[in-house]
Amino acid sequence: MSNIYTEIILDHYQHPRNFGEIKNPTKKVEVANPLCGDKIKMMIVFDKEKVTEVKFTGVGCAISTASASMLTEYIKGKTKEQLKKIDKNFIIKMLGVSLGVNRIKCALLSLEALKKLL
Amino acid sequence: MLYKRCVKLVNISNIKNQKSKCKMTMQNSKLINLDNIITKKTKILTLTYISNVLGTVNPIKEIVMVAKKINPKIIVIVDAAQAAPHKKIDVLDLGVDFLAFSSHKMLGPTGVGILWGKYDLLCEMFPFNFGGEMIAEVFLDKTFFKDPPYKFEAGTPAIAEVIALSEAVSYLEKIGLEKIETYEKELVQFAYQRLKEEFGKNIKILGEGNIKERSGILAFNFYNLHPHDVAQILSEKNICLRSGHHCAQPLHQFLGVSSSCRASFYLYNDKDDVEKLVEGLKEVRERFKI
Repeated sequence: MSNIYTEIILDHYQHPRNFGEIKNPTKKVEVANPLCGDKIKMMIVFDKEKVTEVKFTGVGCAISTASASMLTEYIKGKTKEQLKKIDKNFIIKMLGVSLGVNRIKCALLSLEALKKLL
Repeated sequence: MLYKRCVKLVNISNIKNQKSKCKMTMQNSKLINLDNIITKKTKILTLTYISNVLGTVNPIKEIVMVAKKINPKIIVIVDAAQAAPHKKIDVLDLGVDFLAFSSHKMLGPTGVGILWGKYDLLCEMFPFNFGGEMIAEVFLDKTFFKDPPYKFEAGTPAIAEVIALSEAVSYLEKIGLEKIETYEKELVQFAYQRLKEEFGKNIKILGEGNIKERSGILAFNFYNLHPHDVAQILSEKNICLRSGHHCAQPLHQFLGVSSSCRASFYLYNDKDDVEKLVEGLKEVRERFKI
C-alpha cells in the first residue's frame, strides 16, 4: 500500500474542520466501529432542504477523523438530494488515497453517520 | 485466601456468547482475594493462563488449590493458548480439570488445537458433534458412543494439520520450552527498556507492574495516536503488530483505553527486531509530525 498519510489527510486529522457540537441540531446521530473502538457523533442543521451547519465529535484514527472532517466540509450548503448521491466511491475519491480492506471501514464511518442524518 | 498477581481472572472470550457471571479484578501490586470471585456454589471457574494483552502469567496452581478449597467440586478450565507456546505445562501439577490451546500460536497450522480433560469428566460428557468414528453401536432407539477421545472426534479429522502440529510440538520440545521462556522474558524486558529509553512517558505500556514476570508480549499506546495508524506505518516497514482491542474489550474498558498496539515476541525474534521497532516508531512520530 502506498502512503495513505498524505499531507492533506494529516492536516485534517490534526486540525479537524467542523469539530465540535451544535446546540440545537435538526438531527444528531452516533455511529461506532466496534472493531477499532472508533466513535463519531455528527450533528446537522437543515434549512428546509439545505445544510446550513454540520459538526462532528468523537475519537478515531487518522483516516476516520480526516474523512469526517473532509466530508463535513463538503456537505455544507448542499441539499438533501445532493447528499443522497454520496457513496463509497465518492469518499474514496475525496480522500484521494488507496485504502486496503482493513482501513476502508475507517473511511466509511462518517458516511454511515451522514446516511443516518438524511 | 489471598493471591498475588492475578490479572484478568475470567477469560473474556468465554463470555461472548454466554450468560455466565463475569467478574474482573486486577491488581498489580500485592494481593488479590479469590473469595470475592468464587463461592462454594460456583460450578465452573474458567480463566486464562496468560493474558493476551498484559502478558501476565496467572498462578494457576495456587488458584486451583484455593478454588478447590472453597468448592471441592469446582471444575477449573484453563485457556492456555498463550501459555503452551511459551512455557512448559504440566496439567497434573497444575491440578486443572480442562486445559485447551491452539496450534497456530505454537508454530503449527491453523484450524486445530488441543483440549485436554480429566478422563472421568470427559466420560461424563455428551458429544457436541456427530459423525463417523465416534459410534460404538447404533440401534433404532439408542446409541452407544465410543470412549473418549473418539466420541469427541466425529467425522474425518484434520489429519494433515494434526501431523503438522505434532511436528511443531517436537520442534519446540527439541529447543526446550524452558529455554524459550527465558529467552523471551529477556527479550521483552530489553524491549521494554529500549522503548522507555527512547520514548519515555510518550509510550504507555499496558500493565507495567508485571514487566519482570510477563510472557512475550507488550501492548502499548504511542503518544495519542490511534493504534491502527501506528500499526499501519510500521507494517510498511515490515514490522507486524496487532492493533485493536485483541478480543479483550472489557479489559480495555477497565484500563480506560479504546484500543492498543501489541508487539508479540517469540523464539524467532531477537534484539535487532526490537531496534527495528524503535526505529519504526521514530518514523511514525516523524510522519505524524510529533
